Amino acid sequence: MSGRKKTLLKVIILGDSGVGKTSLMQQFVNNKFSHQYKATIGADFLTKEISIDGNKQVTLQIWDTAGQERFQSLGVAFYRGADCCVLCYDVTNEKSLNNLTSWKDEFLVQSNVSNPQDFPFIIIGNKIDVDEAKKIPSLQKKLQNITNNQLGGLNYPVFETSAKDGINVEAAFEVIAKMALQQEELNDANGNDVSDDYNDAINIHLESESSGCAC
Amino acid sequence: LGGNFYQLKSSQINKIINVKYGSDPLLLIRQLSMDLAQKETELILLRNEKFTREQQLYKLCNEYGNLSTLEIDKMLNEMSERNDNTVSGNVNDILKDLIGTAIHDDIQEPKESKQTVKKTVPNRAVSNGNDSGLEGHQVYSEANRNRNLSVPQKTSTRPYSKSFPLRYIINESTEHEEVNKTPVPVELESMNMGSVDSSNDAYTEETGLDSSREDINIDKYGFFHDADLIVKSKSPPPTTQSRAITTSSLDDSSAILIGSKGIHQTIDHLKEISKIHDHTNQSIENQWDTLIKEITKDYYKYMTKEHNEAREIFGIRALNILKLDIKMGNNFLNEAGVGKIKNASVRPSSPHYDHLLSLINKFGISSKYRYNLWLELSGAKNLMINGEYEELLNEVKQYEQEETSQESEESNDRKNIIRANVKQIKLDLHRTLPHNYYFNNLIELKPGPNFYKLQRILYAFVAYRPDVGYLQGMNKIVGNLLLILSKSTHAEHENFEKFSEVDIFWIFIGLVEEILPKYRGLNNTPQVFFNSLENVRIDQMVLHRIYLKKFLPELCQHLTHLEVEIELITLNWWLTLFIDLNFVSLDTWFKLFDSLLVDDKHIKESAEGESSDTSNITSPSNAIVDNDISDRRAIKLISITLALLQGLEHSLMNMKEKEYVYELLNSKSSNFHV
Repeated sequence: MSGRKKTLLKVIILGDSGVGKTSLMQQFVNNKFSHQYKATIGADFLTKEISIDGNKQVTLQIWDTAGQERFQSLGVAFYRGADCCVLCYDVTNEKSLNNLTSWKDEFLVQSNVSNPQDFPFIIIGNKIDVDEAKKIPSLQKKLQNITNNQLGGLNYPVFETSAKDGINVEAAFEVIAKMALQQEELNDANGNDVSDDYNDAINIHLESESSGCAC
Repeated sequence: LGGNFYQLKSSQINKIINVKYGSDPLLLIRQLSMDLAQKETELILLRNEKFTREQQLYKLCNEYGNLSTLEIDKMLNEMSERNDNTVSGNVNDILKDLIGTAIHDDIQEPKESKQTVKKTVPNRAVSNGNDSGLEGHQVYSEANRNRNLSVPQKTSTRPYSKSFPLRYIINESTEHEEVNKTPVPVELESMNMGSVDSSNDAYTEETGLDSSREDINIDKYGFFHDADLIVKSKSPPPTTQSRAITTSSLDDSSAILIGSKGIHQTIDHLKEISKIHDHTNQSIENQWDTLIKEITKDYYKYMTKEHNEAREIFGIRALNILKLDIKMGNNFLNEAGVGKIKNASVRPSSPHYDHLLSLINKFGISSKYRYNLWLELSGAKNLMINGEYEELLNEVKQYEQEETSQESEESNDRKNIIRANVKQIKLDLHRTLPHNYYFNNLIELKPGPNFYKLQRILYAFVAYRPDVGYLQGMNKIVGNLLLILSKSTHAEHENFEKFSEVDIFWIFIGLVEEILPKYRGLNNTPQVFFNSLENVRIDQMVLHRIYLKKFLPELCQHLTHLEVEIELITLNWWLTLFIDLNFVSLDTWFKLFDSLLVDDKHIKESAEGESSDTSNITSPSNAIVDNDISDRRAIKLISITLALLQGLEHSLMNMKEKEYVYELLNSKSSNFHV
């Protein structure tokens, strides 16, 4: 693929209020942590340029959303054109873990993505810097349970991070960027096909040929 | 040793060495280096003192001048650029003098001095190749500014602290270059090292001073002035177009004046400007005094009989004034008799009301009257029920305590709703105005008094309107409203500590129930702004598809061309009532809130002209049944949004990529003022 065109990848961060979505984004983009973030209203975003696998330059546009459930109804505006969705929970807050499924479902309903079955999601458990005693008991089992029974048994990548200490944040976003890039390329391909469909009926024939080759 | 030691001949020096130092030249060198070190410390102390004074100046400017640190810096820089030639020349002279008194260089040692100069070259490279004293001076001021931007905070991670000492050392080394220009003693290099170390000590000392000093660097609304908050500019952008012209032209002229004159003239100009500023404020206040006096007089003259009990002169959205005007008009007609109707029609139909609106829209409510007017205009005074607030609070507190003892009970719907809301409020309290002293006391690391006020007001609100509940963003609105109670704005108000919290609660209730748009949801249930996000979104669409297109067509086209989805941003503006936009300072926000409390005639009229268009958009959605009400109220939000966008139009039109547009409108950038 040509590297000339600037690739913009849209990433949405979802999760309950107070799990640390803003902190994750700030830690990744600005390498800083503050105890004094303000509650996010509606949505907010930051961008960061990174290179994937050391050669491909992309711009990550990271959308930090409000955690309060009542804002979910506004998601339709923010989720449009997303390339990857980050589902966040707080390792000390079991409810936030249990809510992952509803965040995912809500996202799929509102974003209207073309491939809900294999749209890239990633799960981040934040705040691993806190005392072991405060963490959700038998967390791994519960997480396993949720991915198997509620997230459709799909193997979404899971990261445990500390936005406060900057642990694993970089690594998680590297994976996020890769997944988003894949989705973007997929979308591009589909998008082109669709527009060809509309513009030129003859192309349908060509397309079926090419898709045949791909299979 | 004497300062003119270097003028002596070699033989004389030899003599001195023999006599004074027992013919051990090492002792002389030691003496010289000690002298130099002493001078260094003196220099550092001097600079400390200057820095302290500068900080105090910043603080003063922040407190009284309504200038942002950024603006002060800009002015100072302009000044220092103009005066570089003379001032730093002087600095060099002074330095030479100081050093001259401390050291003597034998002209017999030119090679060595050259070597030391060479050895300091790497230092120069670090300082971006500044090789003249003049530029060194600039670097100094730059480092200084850097220091200001990186105001240390006790609790934060101090993001700039890494770069700061480095800059400081750079600044230090450039000064040594100045030293190097004068004849250099043999041991300068080692001393150089030593002095850098000592400068590090000085640095730690200084940060100690800084943090204690900066912690009390709080503006009149209680904001800590750290790096983030410099972003929150103090330049007063307008809520209405007319204000834009008056204020910005004043700012511009002052900047230009300062740039072109010397220090003394600048001080004179500053005095002049402050005079103008005071004069303007005084005249605004006088206008308010006159208006209030007239209104009060006429009110008691015409309205006493019917309205004695209510004791509300202005009423919700100043509608009582409108009534007063009508009544006066009738009286006028009666007195004038039938024959003079023609004259009567010349008379404006609502003189007091128009006058009030024009004052609010031009200047905002004078801080003297703001508190009382907010109480009336918002409808708070009308809605207020004595004791209600305490009762609501008691209920919530009861639920809160129960929650810890018996969790499983799920019988009471109201109870559960309130509990859920309380949970969310608790999450957000710490995230409301965290940089403000009254909310988050960074000095003593504990919540400020407004933290608890905010908590109680929000608790009471969810108990008052559980159907609306708490929506993120309310915390910011109530938080900002609480700031009006900061002491300097309301010192003259007696007992305000006691009553203010309750008043703010009712002002917020008034805002929700009387001021902000109202909608109808499914089954025609009445909804308010905060529990009708879908309808708010529809109004957003109305804003962009109709009003933006009509009033700012070029901007609209530009944004469409860049594929900017402006709704994503302006929705945030609305939900927080334009708080958090760094191009809207707190003073401006108060004015913006003032104007929110009254209807805007002109916009209203133009809106009525548009109503045929609007209905096309809004009615298919069938969400807004009561078209009249919702349109009339949302129009105020729309007009404010348009005014802000218009103020930013020039900046926006120059942006060629949508990221920058988002960044500006999302308040991430500090470089733009309306």
